[in-house]
Amino acid sequence: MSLRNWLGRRRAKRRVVVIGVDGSPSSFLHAGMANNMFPNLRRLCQQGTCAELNSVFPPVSSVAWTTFLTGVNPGRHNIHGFIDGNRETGQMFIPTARNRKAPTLMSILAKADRRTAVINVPVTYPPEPVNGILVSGFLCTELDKVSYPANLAEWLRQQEYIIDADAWVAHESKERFMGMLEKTLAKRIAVARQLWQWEKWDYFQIHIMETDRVNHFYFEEMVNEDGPLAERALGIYQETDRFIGEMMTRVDDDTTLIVLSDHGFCTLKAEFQLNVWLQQHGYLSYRPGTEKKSFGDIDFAHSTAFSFIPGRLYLLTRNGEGAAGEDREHLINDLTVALKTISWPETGESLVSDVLRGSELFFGPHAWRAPDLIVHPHHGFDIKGAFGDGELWKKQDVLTGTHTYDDAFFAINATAQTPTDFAIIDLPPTILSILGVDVPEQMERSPFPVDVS
Amino acid sequence: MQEGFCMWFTGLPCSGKTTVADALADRLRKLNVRVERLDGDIVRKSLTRDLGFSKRDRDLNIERVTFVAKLLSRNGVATLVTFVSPYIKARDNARKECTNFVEVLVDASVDECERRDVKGMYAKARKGEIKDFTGVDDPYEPPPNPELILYTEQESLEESVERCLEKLAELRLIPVEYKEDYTLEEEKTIQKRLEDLGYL
Repeated sequence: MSLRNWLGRRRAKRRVVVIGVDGSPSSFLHAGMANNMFPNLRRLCQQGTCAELNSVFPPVSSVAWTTFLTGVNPGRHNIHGFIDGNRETGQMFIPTARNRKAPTLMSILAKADRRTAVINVPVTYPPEPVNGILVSGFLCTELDKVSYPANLAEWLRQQEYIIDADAWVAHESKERFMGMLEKTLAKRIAVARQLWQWEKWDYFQIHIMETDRVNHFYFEEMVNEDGPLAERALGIYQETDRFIGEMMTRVDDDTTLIVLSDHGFCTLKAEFQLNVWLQQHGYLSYRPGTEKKSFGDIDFAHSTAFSFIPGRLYLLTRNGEGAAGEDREHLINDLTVALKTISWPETGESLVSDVLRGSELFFGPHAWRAPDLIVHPHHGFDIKGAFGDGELWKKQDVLTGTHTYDDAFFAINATAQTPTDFAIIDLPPTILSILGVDVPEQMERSPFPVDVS
Repeated sequence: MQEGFCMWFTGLPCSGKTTVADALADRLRKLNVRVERLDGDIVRKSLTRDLGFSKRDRDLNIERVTFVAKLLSRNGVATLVTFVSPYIKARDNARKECTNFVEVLVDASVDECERRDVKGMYAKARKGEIKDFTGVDDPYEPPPNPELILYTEQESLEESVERCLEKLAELRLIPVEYKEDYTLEEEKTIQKRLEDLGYL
């Protein structure tokens, strides 16, 4: 090698690519690799490293990917779920990027004068100004507002880019929805391909959301290889695998490729309505004269607990303030014991795997907004938070998959020593370290060793 | 706990300081922000009713108001101050004394201010009935680096208030979720999307 090339290589800055495969369970992917359905992922695992990792509590994409982008827990980044509530006004709201209180990888890298191209990551709407480009995710409703810079939206429109497949279609026709998923994925990959070539980036992240969507509506069919759409559902994963293979050929020796999911998935057995249970057991009451159907109808002065999906439990004292002191401990103990006795009438299976204390999971200036308890279900159960009267248990026929905290997937084209308690929060400091950028003090984990040589 | 601040509106008489600050105060109260107003017309009827309009008295007027704004802002109150406050030195002193000082220049031409002047003060000043009237026979020293400039001749009231809220959110002095990222229609769309995915 000539001296100039050697010097050029020495000067070449490391780059990182992250392909997010939302909700893809590690066990499912490994089974697919073993059956030769995902040859590119298999090659990546064989040539590099792959591992199972944990999500975050609660294991939903808005919280998990915000934890990924910021490297801090929800008590610091302030995204606690897809919905949240303001007790003072009785209003629920949908947290957006504007509610996020911690700096993202994009802003950290911008300060280090590194360029980023980030596409479709959850809770990046409204798109923040970045050193590069940002196409925000499915919390955006209009293409005109989806991107930074704003004029990228016109090009996205010309490419017929689709922000997200319309989930309501799945409730009318699962076949039609499958067609939409296939089209959305194709358009997303096409856009990613173009932006990969055009943009000068140091950090490139493309988020495939279609894997999560196919899991929600077709997971049982896929794992059982049963039903007319099972093959096409698997096809979403195989198309993603082909895209991963394509990216593997494009990355050079100075680029680290990571494939990552934010949580696992399993077949959905039944949904459980926690607020209905809380009401039936005297923890939650509604104000007289209200319709008793919404968060705003809660009688906070006479309730001791309410919940938001999935399994986020908030404690109240009699005067409506957050529970404190001895009352709180009794309340936690009572609730924990009672929740652990709940079983699914159909099979007698226990609903609750664990009742976790928020004080042990969430810390930081926004921990006050975090749930006091996380009701963590056994695999197969989805803990919902509808208000009002209703059935405790429901079996779904449209949605056939539900999230898991464990069983998320990680793969990297390098030798990596992942930590024993490996979780999504480990990724951001490691990515910064690979890029040669100082890890900010606020990040809660240290980089794990990755040999990129 | 709410962080206090002092948003100081300065500009010619009738440039729109009071109109903008009153509307801003309404918006802030809806966000459950504790707000107090210190307005030139009102303060001069009470706290500083003993003062005239000589340079010395005008300086004293601002000094006293600065003292009150300092107490309010350091105790977690969103303090909106609307005074012509024509002198840089006095405003710089307020910046030094108050917590989280945000200087807002409310900019409108003398002609426009005169056009808006319902009390006829500019006319009286031109006739010599009022002496040392800022904009007529007394200078206004615009701030060299205000945190915000409102162009009330070009902007609507709503736009000016929105810009004030943006600035406060940018400075993290009010919650960033003040801004509605969605229209009502868009919010319904997103809620439906989340429901259909089983996230609600």
